Amino acid sequence: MQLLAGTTKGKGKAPAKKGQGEAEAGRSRNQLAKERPPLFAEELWACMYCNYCSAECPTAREVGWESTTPRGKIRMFKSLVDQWRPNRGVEVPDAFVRAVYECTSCGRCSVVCHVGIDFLTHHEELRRWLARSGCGPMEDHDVMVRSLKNYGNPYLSPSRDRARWAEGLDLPTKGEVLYFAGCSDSFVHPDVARRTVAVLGALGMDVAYLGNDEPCCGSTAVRLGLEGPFADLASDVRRRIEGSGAKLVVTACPGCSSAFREYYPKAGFDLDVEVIHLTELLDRELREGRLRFSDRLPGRYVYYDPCHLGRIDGVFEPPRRVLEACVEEVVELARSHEESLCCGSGGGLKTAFPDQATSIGGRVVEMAQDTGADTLVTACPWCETNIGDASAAKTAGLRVVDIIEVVHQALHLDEAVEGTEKRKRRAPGRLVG
Amino acid sequence: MAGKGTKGRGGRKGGDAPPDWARLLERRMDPGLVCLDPAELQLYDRDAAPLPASAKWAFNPRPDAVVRPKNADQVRKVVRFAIKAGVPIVPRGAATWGFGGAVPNNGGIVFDLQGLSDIHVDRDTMTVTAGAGAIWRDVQDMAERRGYMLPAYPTSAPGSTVGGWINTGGVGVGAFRYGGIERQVRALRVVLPNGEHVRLGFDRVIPNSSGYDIKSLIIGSEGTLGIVTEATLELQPAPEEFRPLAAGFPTSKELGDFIQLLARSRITPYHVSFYDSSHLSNLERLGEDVPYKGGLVSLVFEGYSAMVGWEWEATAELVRRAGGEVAGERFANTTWDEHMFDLRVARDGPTLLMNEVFVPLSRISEVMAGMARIINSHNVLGGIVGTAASRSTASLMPYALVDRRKWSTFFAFGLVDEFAQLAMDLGGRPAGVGLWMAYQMPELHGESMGAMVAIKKALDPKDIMNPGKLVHAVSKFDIKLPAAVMNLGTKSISMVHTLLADSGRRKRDARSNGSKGASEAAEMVEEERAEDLEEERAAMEAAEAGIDTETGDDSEGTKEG
Repeated sequence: MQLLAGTTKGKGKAPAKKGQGEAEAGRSRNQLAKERPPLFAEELWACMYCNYCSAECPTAREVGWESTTPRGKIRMFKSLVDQWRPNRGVEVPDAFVRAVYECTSCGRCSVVCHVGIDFLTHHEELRRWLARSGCGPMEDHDVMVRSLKNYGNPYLSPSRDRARWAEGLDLPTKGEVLYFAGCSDSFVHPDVARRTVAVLGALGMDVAYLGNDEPCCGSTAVRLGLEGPFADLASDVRRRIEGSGAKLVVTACPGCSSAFREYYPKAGFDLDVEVIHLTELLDRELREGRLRFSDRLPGRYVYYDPCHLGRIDGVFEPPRRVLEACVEEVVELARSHEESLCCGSGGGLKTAFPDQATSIGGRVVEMAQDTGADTLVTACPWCETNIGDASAAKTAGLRVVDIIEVVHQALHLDEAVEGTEKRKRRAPGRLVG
Repeated sequence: MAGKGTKGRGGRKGGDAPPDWARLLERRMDPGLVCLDPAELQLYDRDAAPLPASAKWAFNPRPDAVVRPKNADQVRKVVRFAIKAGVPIVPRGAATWGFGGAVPNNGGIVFDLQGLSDIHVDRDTMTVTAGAGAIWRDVQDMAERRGYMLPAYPTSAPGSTVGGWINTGGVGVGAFRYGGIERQVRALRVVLPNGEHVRLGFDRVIPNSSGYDIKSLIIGSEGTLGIVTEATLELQPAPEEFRPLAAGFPTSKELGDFIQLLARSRITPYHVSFYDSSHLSNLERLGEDVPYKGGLVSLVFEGYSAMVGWEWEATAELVRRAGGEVAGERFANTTWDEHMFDLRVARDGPTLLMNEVFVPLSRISEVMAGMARIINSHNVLGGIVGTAASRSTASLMPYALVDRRKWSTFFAFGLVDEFAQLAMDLGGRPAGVGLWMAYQMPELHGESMGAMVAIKKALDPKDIMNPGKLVHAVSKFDIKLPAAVMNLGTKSISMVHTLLADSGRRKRDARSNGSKGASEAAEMVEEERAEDLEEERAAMEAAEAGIDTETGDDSEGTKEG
């Protein structure tokens, strides 16, 4: 008997070209995928059912049913591959679409796999296939898709507000060092954006920015498998960065840095400039003696590795070196570096399954409390938001901050951050992620 | 519409209507605890070993309902319901073993126990209490964070559960020094087949001479006597030092000699594992740098640094005396770091046919040679991974790498039985029973089978607790599976596969004009596999061109235990 038994009869639409068949917000989804499923089944035959991935997968741990586990998804997908016929396509059940989007794209499964299956890469391909076939993403993602299309950011915020964080700073729009604030720091964590500029200024860097014209990097579109919107955004980003005359692009958001460094080249949008995450830049300045701290902040701090900065981009030590230079005590979580537990915010999970996302973040909060730390430091606005939400939900009293806040404080730059209180969230009822 | 209302887990297709009792169970329990969705249920029809389609003639491995309890009280309620309804119950941890123990023989309720995952360390009694569904690695992490270590854990610790290893009577990492799980369990909480939730053993003290040691009956009972909901396990103080040692040997003979020398000395490593030459060449084929070709032993010592240092040096001397070579520190560390990933060789299978057996440690070289002969007679790539489970017993995992998508692979399943038979002939036994090996129980236990059946009947008179496993080998038609028939069946398919292998070998010999030596066998097998894959690709392309091709018996699965 086949898994996901369903008829393969029916009249499907012609196979979609790249990006053309993607479900638009509010449009009905297909259940029939005419396009041949991605050909990665060969590698998936090696799955040993050892459960290593499922035991580490944040959503599988949260939900539990086999269909949420990577090994369960592999079985379901192989069944679809078997059912697919060139002239008939294959019916994609709701349960499968849900299973594919019940994932934070944290990549832990790829690291822990007993036989080295890179499931994250396959999973991303799977989302692209669903989107091209008009079967995905889920309706719960419509708000994000609509926001990307109409506002150029995932937060339903008008683009005229994008650069409000920079009011009064008189930043130029052209220059060799470009600070790419990203949607999250522009709209949700303006304090991070202002502090970043202040710290870079203290280091003698005159940073430029793109103002209200800064587009979304497209990482949210990538995570949902939306090739069309991603290509549009990537193309816009490349054009505007070229126009700025930048030789170095700095961002404090791992969503942006990993998009620029990992996903742009794959999609043919190489940026002809160096892209660096803020923590790498601070580390470089520290090691070369330009960043110096006169004293260390008291307290016990724990550093949390964001998935896309750590596991995906391989940046583990720079933020730790910076933190160790400016605070009294840094401790490690029980799971850190490549084994870091996802905060629960990524992959569109927080949009479609917000309770799950907060609950997953709660596990990080528990781990942090177990270390006795009073402050959790991260280097990603998504993590800061979700772990912060989880901490609030648990009334844990754990302070969750971006690393720039600590650096800023240690440099005694506090007076420069007027008007950086966190803005009220604009997404309806919840943040998207 | 995909996405619309997808908070639920899909709908049931026509013809898959759940039985009335299942609907009643769903209504009685809290929302979200009982799943009747056929697509979800289908995912619970296997463990690490995929069922060949033919096995589904004899068994119905798909449950009618899956329950995911969050606490022991919910387990108790469902068991009481099942007693009244006369429905079989199958407890399931992470289903990472390959003997069918966590798979129904004929539908019923499967308990997915991974929701019972709380872990608590008690410093006062130096114990850890963990839910049946807690993952071993999490238990290990928690113990370490509190300044202790687990005396033993399974090599599958990143994926397997506490309840699963207890029910399979696990022997794994640490067993050489501290014994298997049976030595670590201080108390169990179990829902018995009469619906009572009881504590077996004592949380704070050892249970000797205090009455029947019923918790020991539960250990290794494969879920046939009750559902373990929680276990209290003993801990050891964290050691001052952990120090691995790796040693290479020219052949399995010298490797066996060393392990016997070690077992007869006073040296007590925490863990001893070993790998035969075929396994090492399989690792090389994966691109790993393996400086030793004939055999490899990996040991680890723990304790006070002074004692670890002394034992390490003494062991190195034994290695040299047995004709081996002590590896550098870096290689030793890397080998130890991979000790929970030994089966990564399956990447190149892609199907891993495997068994696990216990054999007398004194006959280890003989058994390894016999297993190598079996693998060779089937003309497949394979290897042996083993551990010294105690000073007297070795645990061996012989495996073969095959491709399940090829029709002839069905006949290779006989290999699994051949490994077990060899172990029994040399005074050993298979490591697990479950659904597949239950027919061998009378041969294994002889007269004591009567007592086992009596215990099962006394505790589970309605035979609802994991029926068809361990003491009763029965099919879905409630027909007993006679050992003679099962033996004949497995021997026949094994024989067919050997003949196919012979024929394949002759063809290759003819092709190569007998010019290639035995050392090139692996290369030739690979060439053949490349040709097969080419054929597969051609078939796929034909399918894309509009010619429908039927795929194999089922669409998933890779590992047979």
